[in-house]
Amino acid sequence: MADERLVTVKSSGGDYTSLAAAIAGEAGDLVAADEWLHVECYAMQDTSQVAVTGYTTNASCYIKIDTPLSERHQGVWDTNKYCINRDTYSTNLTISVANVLVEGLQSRNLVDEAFRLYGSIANVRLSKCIGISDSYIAFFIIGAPATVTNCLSVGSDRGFYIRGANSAYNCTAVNTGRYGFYTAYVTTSIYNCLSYNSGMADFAIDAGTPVFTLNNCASSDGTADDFAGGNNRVNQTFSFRDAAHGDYHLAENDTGARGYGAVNPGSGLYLDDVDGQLRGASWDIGFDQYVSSGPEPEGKMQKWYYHTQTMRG
Amino acid sequence: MAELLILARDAEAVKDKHKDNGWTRGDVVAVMPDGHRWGKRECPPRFYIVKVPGADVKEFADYATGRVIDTGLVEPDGKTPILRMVAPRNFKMDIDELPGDAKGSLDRAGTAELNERAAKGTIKEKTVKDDGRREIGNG
Repeated sequence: MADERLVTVKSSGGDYTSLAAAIAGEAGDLVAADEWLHVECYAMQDTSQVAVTGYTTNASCYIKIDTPLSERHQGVWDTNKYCINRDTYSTNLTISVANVLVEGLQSRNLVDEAFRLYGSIANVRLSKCIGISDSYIAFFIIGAPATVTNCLSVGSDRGFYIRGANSAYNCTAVNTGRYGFYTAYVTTSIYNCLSYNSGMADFAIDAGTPVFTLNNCASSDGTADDFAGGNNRVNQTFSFRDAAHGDYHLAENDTGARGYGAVNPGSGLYLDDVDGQLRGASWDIGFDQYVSSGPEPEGKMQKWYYHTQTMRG
Repeated sequence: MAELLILARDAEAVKDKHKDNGWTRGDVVAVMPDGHRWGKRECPPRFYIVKVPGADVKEFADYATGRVIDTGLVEPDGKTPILRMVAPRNFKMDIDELPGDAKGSLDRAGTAELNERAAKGTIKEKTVKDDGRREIGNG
């Protein structure tokens, strides 16, 4: 069994002061070292461009980039938690190697992509991340096969642009300039995803002859049922906790998404929501699972799930 | 004022790629304001710190970005060019070409100070190789 190599990214007192430095400094052959790399990011605003490349990995000797729960956003963009925050024409975080899990990060770029996955990226997953690209694409997934779970795009030109044989589960896109979820050329599968208030279309396809399969998705316009799949909901009104302040957790009185998700569509890949709350027997659509007691950031179940999660979640 | 975090060693070269397509010795990994408190591993053998008094952080930060090529293809909208990163950094400092006292300082202490002109003179665009794959679908 591979050993953990843990390094920290902190504004002071850690191993590195940027995620870019951690990735460059630790790059190498994890398989030969029989180690898996764990990069923990603490609350700070990171301004360096990150390129996850130069590694040899496998399913056991993988890379996990995450944030401790105390340093992580709570489903709402928060500059007081760890975030990559840049305004230059270069992608904030790119991943081009296999076997990488990114969990709990925030990435915002005013003019370029927040996240980009490309190349042969087998077993790469973005989980519980918030992406904002004010004038471009929040999540640009080109390579394959990769997975996006419990992620949120806010106010981007395009939320999730998936141009590879990839899957998105329980993600939410709100207030996109053009498209919430968008695909071209290839086969893309979307489960339990919510798109709200897109400028052109909540769900759309473009060039080529893509196979866009949507199951248990919901849109505020009429596009969620325009493609293959089933159990999709169109022209829905969603109720959020506090949209005016960027909080797109589902409200108690929501009737558009609560309880309409497919149960465990990832076959055990994940069982919780963006806040780490277990989804239970009735799944909601989108990145959040409504629970009547509100979030429990340090709750016992959340801690248990966090500490037992592996690459396969 | 700026301080540059320079990679001190080549990372494992991905076997089927040109060396400069990966993380290489001399890569400008990060640029921080003068007086930045670097992390415990941001030192030899992994990194050097090069201090450039008077340099503008934002200007030097342009050296700490990836090499992106235009694939010659366009987005489905027919006009937006499709770009692809072929190396994690576009520029690297030629450490072996540093003035003797600066090179010696890096070897001894892991840090050196250069004036802005000297720093810019030793930072060079990397020679990368495009592997020719088209970035559509499985890019």
